Amino acid sequence: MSRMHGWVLAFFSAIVGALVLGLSSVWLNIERMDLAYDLNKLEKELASRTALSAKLELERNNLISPYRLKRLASLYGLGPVGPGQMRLMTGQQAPALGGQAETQGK
Amino acid sequence: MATTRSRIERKRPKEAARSRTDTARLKLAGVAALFAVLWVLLWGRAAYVQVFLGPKLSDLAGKQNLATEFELGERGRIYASNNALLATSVESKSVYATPIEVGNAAQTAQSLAQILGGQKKNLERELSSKKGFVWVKRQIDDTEAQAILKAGLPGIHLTSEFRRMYPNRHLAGQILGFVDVDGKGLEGVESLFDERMAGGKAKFVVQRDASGRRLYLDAQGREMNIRGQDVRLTIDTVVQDAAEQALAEAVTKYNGRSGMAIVVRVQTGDILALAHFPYFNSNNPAESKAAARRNRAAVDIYEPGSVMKPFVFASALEQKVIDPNKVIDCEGGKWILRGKPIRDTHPYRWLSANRVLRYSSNIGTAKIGLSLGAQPYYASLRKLGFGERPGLELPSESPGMLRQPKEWTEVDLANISFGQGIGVTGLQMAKAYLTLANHGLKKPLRLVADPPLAAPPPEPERVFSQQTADTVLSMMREVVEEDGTGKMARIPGVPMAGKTGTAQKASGKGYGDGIVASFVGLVPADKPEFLLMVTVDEPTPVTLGGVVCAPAVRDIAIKTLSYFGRLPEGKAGPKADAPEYSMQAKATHPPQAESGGAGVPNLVGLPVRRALEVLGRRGVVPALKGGGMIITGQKPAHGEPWPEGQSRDEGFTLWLGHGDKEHKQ
Repeated sequence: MSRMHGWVLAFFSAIVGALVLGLSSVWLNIERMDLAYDLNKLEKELASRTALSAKLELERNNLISPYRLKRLASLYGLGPVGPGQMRLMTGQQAPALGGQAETQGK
Repeated sequence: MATTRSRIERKRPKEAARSRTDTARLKLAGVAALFAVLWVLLWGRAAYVQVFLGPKLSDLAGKQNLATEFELGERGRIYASNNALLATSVESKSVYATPIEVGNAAQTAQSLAQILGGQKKNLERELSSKKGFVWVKRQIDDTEAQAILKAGLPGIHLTSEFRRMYPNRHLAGQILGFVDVDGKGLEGVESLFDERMAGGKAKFVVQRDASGRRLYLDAQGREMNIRGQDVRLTIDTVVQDAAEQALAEAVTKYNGRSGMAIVVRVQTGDILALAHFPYFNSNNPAESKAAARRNRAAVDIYEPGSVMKPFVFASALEQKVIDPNKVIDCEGGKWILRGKPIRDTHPYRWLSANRVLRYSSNIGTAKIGLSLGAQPYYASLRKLGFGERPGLELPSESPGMLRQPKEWTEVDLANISFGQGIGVTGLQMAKAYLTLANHGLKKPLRLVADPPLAAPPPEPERVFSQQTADTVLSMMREVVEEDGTGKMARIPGVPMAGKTGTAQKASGKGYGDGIVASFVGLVPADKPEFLLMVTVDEPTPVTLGGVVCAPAVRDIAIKTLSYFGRLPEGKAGPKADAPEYSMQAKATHPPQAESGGAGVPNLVGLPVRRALEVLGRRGVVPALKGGGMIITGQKPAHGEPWPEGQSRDEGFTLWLGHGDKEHKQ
C-alpha cells in the first residue's frame, strides 16, 4: 500500500514538475521575445545614431577642410605667413618635421 | 432446516454484493483500458508528429516566422597623414518600387518626379511594368527621403545603402579616384585598395512577428567584423591644398591645358602633395571628363626638357668628365650637330659648367652629354629610376620611355642630355630628384602610409657620391639664388636649389609649338627637406618654366615651410620701430591693440592670432578660455601692469568668442 502511495506521489510530482517546467518555458519565451523587441529597438537607435555620427563627422571634416578654412580666414583678415613674418613664441622651438607649427598663418 | 435456510439467506446478499463489485471492476478496467488506449494513441500521435513529421513541420513554421537577412559592412575610410578624413561612407536612402503594389502609376510617377526630379514618363513606364522590383533613385539625400516618407506612396519603399563621400571636395581627387553606385572602387586609391576597403557581407536568420518586424534572437552571423579596413595616405591636406591652389593659378594665368604639382618630404620620400589641374571632384565623377580624372603624374609621359640637365651634370661629375669650373664653348647660341641644329634661348659663348646649368644652355649640356657617352649616362638614368615604374603601384603607372643606348645616335644623346627624346612621368622625375636631394642616395617614393608595403623597401642605393650630389645642388642653387633661369622662385631668407624646364612637345614626326613648362625646387638648398615640382602643359603666351612654374613652386614652398614652422623667424616687424600693437594684417581695416602705455594693451576685439602675437613679443603665453576667434575679454585689464615672475603666464587670461562680447571680465 505504501509502495502504491509512493508511485502516486511520484506521478503527481512529475505532473506538477512538468507543468512548472512548461510554464517556465512559456514565461522564458515571453521574456525572450520582450528582450528581442527591446534589442530590436536599441539596435535601430544605435544604427540611427551611428549614421548620424558618421554624417556629423563628415560635416566636421568638411568645415575644417582647407578651402573652408581659407574662406573663413580671409573673412577675418588672415592669410598664410610670408617670409620674415613668422614669430616663434618665446621659448618655443620649431616643431619637429611632421608636426604642425603652432604659429602658422598671419 | 430452518437454520440452513437462514444461512443461505445470509449468504445471498454477499454474493449479490460480490457480483456487483466484479461488474464495477470490470467497468473500471474497461474505462482504464480505454484511457490507456487513448493515452497510447495520443502519445503515438505526438511521437509521430514530433519525430516523423517534426523536421518537415519545423521547416514550414520557419518559413512563416524566420527570415534570412544580409548586412553589408561600411567601406573603409581614407585618411591623410594629418588625420584629415579624405573619404568616408555614410548611410543614405535609396528608393525602390514594387510595381504590383503601386495603385495609380501616373499619380505616383508625378509625385516621385516632383520630389526626386527626373522624367515623369520614364517613371510611369517603370511603375506600370510587371517587374517585382524597380530602382527609382539610389542614394538620395535626407530631405528627399523625408519627403518620400511623408508622401506615403503605395508600392514605394526606402532602403539603406552606403554612399561614398569626399569632404574635401576636389582635394586630391585624382589620387583618391572614385567608386561606383555599388561602392566598388573604379580608379585611384579606391581601386587600388578596393579589396581591403570593401565592406564584408554578413548573413543571419531573424525571427518575424505577426506584423513583420524583425527580431534578432541570437548573434549568429553578426559577430563577424564586416567593416572594411582603412587606408592612410602620406598626403597632407594643407600642403595638398597649397599645391592645388598654386598650380591652378599658374595654369589659369598662363592659359595652360593642364598641370601637376608634387611635394615630397626628402628624408622619407613621403609624397605630401600630388596635385592636378583641372580639378576632379570624386563626389561627382560623372560631371568630369575622363581626362580630368587621370592621375597625370603617374600616367602621362612627356619630354621633360631642361629639368633633366642636373642628372647629366651629376653623371659627368661622377665619371669625372667635368668639374664645375670646366669651360665649355656654347657656340653663340646655335650649334649644328650631324646636320641637326641645337639652339639656346640666349646666345652664350664660353661658359663654365656651373654657368651652363645656371643659364640652362642646351649646347653646353649636349657637349657634356657627348663627352660622358651614352652607356654611362643610360646607366645613371636607369639607376635614378627612369625606364621603370616608380613603384607606387598606382593603377596604370607608366614606366616612361627610355630607349636602349645602342639605339642612340649622337644627336639622340645630345637631345636626351637636355631632356628631349626621352619620355618620363612626373613621379619618375620626382623620384630622380629625390636621389639628388638625399645626397646621392636613392630612396623610394611613398604615397600610402598604411597598409605598409608587403615587401620591405630596399636598402637605399647610392647612385652618386655625396660630393657629386652636393656639387650639383650648389650648381642648382645658383639657378635660383644667382642670375639663373629660376630666380623667380627665390624666397628671402630661404636658400633654394632649382631647375627650370621648357620642353618642346612632340607633334607627329617632329616638334610642334606646344611647350611643357616645369620647375623643380629643393628647400633648403644645402640640406633639402622638401622637394617641390610644378609642371604646366602648353602655357601661352609665356612658355618659360622659370616664369610660369617657378612662382608657383615659390608659393607652395612658402606655405609648406610656414606650415611646418620652417620659415625663418622675422627679426623685426614690418616697421622696426613700430609699436607691437600696430602690426599690419591683410585685412582692409585690421584691428589693432590699443596701447596701454606701460601697462597691458587693450586686446578686446582683436583676432586671437594677433593678440597672441602681441603677448608673445612680451614673452607671455596666456590661458585661453571659451571658443571663437575674437578676444572678448582679458585679465589683467587694459592699462593694468604686466604680470611678473613665475605667475606671468598663469596670470594672463584671454576669453574667446565670436565678437559678440559675450564675456566681460
